[in-house]
Amino acid sequence: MRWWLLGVAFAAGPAVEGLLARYGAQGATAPDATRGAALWTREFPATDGGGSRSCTTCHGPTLGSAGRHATTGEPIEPMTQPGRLADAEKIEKWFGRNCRWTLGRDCTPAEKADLLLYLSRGGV
Amino acid sequence: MKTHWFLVGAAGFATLLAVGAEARGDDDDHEEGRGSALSGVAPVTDATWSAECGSCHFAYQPGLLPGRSWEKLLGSLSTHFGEDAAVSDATLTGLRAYAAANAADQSPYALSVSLARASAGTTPDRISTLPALRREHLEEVPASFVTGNPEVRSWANCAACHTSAARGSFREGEIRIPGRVWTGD
Repeated sequence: MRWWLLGVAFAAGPAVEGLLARYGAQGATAPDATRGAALWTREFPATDGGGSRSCTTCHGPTLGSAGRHATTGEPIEPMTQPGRLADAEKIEKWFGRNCRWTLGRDCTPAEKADLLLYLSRGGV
Repeated sequence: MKTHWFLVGAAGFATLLAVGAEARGDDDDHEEGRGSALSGVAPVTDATWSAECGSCHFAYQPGLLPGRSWEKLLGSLSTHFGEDAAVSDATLTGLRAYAAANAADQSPYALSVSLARASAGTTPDRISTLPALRREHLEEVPASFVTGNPEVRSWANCAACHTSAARGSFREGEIRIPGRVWTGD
């Protein structure tokens, strides 16, 4: 176990810890919550010609905000809601869908590790 | 004195109940078999269906579309109304089985029977604008009540206005449009 895993394991739980180890094995050996925060709010041009989009388009201005699905208006629980990061496959599923919608491509393991560290800490 | 006010209150409440029952008398519309135990559509009973569909939009009951429509939708989840809604193979198998067994053309519920009949020969995929619901949604309801309403925003947000939608009931008397006054048609 790398030293930084010890730090996140306390608050993050086994799903996050396991995913960070997986991304680490894929080359993301130095995740950074500050980079994660910057990616979280970065605006990307929409691939369908609509306005720009970022993670906050749906998730709201802060990690503690309730969000709303940009198209359907369906409420989205705050990212800091307990239990939000408890299931590794669920986290992977949403990274897949939401990176493709927001960035127009899959996130790299390094980007996912940065984001996950940021989200699991509830901030930087 | 206390007893007196209690009686007045009880009488008032009974009147409200009676008026409420009267107001609901205009039910419904395109549904046959009104008043039977099987009005509306069958509520969703599958936890995976509720969780997977319901995380982005109202968890539409399978009984709102015929089986061929669900096959089409579930077979193209990676391009689902402009979004990637792909699920794992194991999850997809479960969703397909649940849809097939409970689709409109398999259901005895009155609204399902009516929608299955109305969609015969077609494979609709957008529930909110099904031809059978087009009059109710696009002609009777101003867009400002739905897409222009910050509390509703989308035709996919059934339960924002249909207060019993999650129970499979879409009767006119149950409609409450947030921030707007709906007087029916």
